Amino acid sequence: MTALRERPSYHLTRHFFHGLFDLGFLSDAGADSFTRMIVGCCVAFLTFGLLLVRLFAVKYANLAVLRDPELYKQASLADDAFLIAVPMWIVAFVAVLVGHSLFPDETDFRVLMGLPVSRRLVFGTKLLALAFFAGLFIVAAHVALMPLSVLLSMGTWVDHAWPVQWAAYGAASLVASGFSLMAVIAVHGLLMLAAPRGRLLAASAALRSVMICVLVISLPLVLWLPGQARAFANGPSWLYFAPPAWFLGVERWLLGDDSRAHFIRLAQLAAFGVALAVGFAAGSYIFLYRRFDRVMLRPSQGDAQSAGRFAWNPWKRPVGSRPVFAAIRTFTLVTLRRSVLHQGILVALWAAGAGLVVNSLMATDLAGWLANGGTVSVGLMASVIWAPFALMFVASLAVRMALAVPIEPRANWVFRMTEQNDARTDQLEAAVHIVRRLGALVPIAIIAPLQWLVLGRDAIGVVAVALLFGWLLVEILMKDWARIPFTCSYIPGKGFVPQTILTGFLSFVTFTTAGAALARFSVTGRPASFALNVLLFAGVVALRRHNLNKRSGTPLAFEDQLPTEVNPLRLS
Amino acid sequence: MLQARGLTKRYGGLLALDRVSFELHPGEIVGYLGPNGSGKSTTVNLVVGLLEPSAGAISLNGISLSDDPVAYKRHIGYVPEEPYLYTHLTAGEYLMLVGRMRRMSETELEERVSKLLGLFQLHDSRYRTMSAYSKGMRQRVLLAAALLHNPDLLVLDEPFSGLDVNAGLLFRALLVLLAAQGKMVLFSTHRFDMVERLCSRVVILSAGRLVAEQRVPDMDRDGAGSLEEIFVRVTRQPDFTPVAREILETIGGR
Repeated sequence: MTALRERPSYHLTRHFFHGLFDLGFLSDAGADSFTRMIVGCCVAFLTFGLLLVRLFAVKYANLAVLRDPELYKQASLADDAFLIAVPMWIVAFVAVLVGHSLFPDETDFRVLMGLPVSRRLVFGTKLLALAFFAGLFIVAAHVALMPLSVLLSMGTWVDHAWPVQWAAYGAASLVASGFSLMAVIAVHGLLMLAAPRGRLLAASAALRSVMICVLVISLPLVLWLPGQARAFANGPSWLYFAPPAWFLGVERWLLGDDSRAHFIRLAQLAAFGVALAVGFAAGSYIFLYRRFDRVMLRPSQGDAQSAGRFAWNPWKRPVGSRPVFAAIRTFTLVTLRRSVLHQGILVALWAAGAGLVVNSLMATDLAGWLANGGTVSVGLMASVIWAPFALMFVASLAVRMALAVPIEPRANWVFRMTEQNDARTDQLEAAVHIVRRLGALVPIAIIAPLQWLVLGRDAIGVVAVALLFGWLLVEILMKDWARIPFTCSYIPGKGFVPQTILTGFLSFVTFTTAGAALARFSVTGRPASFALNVLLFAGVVALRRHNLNKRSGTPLAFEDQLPTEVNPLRLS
Repeated sequence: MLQARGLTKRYGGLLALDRVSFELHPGEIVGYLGPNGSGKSTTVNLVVGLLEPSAGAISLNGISLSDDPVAYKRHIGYVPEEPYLYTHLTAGEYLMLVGRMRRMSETELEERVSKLLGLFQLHDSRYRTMSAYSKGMRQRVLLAAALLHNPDLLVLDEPFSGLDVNAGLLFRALLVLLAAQGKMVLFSTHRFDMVERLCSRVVILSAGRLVAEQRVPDMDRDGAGSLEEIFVRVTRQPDFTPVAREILETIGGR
């Protein structure tokens, strides 16, 4: 053990492994708080795994009563696919989050290549650290789901002894999780090798945002899998586009199940997918290994200059009589555009809202209505009216959170040096402006065409109510805002986490229900609805005036503080 | 004129600065010297308003920092020791941000930013974000940002670290011309040669206390010795030769 600890490979692996957990923007207090939050999430996930066992045990007890082996087996197939999909999703999500550390980077090159360590050691330890990191999440996900997977393997009408059944699931699911990891590495590798150095940062940020967005939106689809028992039995064409189904094919192939031909084709697709992902990931690593110096030191000036000449330049926008407002607004937009971290937070949470809306619209058969037309169902109408409120709520929180996370806390001295009391309102209003635009107006603009399609002219009234509610939401969310975006240190999970979750959930339900109810009422055109809207408008204007007055006298915050209340629930 | 009276700063139980007083007159370049931990950076942070003194007062041209920090800071340009910048911005974007925060007129700002980028040899890199800049380039950006609003007092914390020869020469010439225009420059450094060449006066700090203050041209005349000799004497620096010998012995040299 001592000999192992003395080896450079041990220290380098440790260094890379810790680097994968390093967010870089948290203070010591923030890092402690973040660790507590992560532990809390892990516990919640394990609890969720146990809760699933209870739910599925009830489901299979009911299926056993029906005495129909086919129904039972179909449900078991769908649940196996679900159990494969969950760890795949977790591994892919984590790999996307640490996308910047999947390959040795320029810092590694400049620091480590100057030391007497071989390139082989650098790449080997990087891969080892990555394997440990991914392995940690793969094992955690499978441990959390183990009770459920054992339960499914021990079912009444299962064809094989439970250890065989369980081993086949385990093997297929581990390969599936490995595929997720390799696929993310392969995509990042291709980008790193193909993108010009001057554009690599922006391209990498965009890629990560797109991948996070796709993953978050796909989460409802993962949760939807247990309900697709018949589809897994019959093999419709969409199964071939769902990677968890490929690995269900692998599981059935391992069990020697040749009762359905589509499982063999799915298993073949899995083999092809794994080969492709491993091929590209390994190829990228080998290419980088062989040309580390050339890739890291390739010239970037030309790329950057051509990119700069034609790029969108918000600094050229007219500033009017409010230069401070313009400065903060532009700084915020540029940071959201270039910072991988902030864009990631924004896109991930935004996509969560979009996922909720997509899920709700799918459940009310929007696709069927769009394809076939006909009368609009009550459910579809309700869903379309509800959609902007749900999206606004999540999107506004997403933007606020992205603005709260610092980008380089040590550089905020420039804002302290240039602080001006009479410009305080402009400084804070710039952040409110961004939240209003990205958190309220953009969601309304995205959903308005759909509302027009479904509701016709009534959509105008619904949009008007959504605008009012969006404005109200932003004023409420930003009432205590006292920061220039990205300049204040950040302590995540400051509040009592269960209480925060509960408050957030209740606020979401209240906001979306009240908003959708008023919008529906407005569609009726009754005078009372008009009066309600006028009242709401007056309330929002009053709140805004109050906030504006408050902002002018608010000192800017550059250090996040833990709450002084130790026990917010006052339980003792 | 910059006046610092009885500046004291405590960090919990640690006394970092103990009743330090000095003045800076228009046209003066004052070198601020002291060994590590003597309170130099604390003084600089107090003078630019990033820290609040535990006791004492600072004023610039009659404007008290504690009474009107905003008006006070309007007249200051600052170059910190470490080039902490928002490196996801380009140099031009950073200068635009600082100029707008200082509420400069847009036409004037654009013209100055464009000219300063050229004069500080940053024009060729104007489309690159500062993450790709060398330390010297970042120092030049910081100096351009500090000068952008034509401040009365320029506070420089180790401004020559990381600068290449050309930029260093430009920096020196610039400081001399600024002083000739009646600007004040407070110049915290470890480099005796720069202080001897540039500064009209030197202030030396040791263990949080002001231990010497002398006009540079008078040093030879008074027979006080070179700046380095004065520094070693007043800050009671030990003879480092035995330590150097021990280092050599530690690494196996003779």
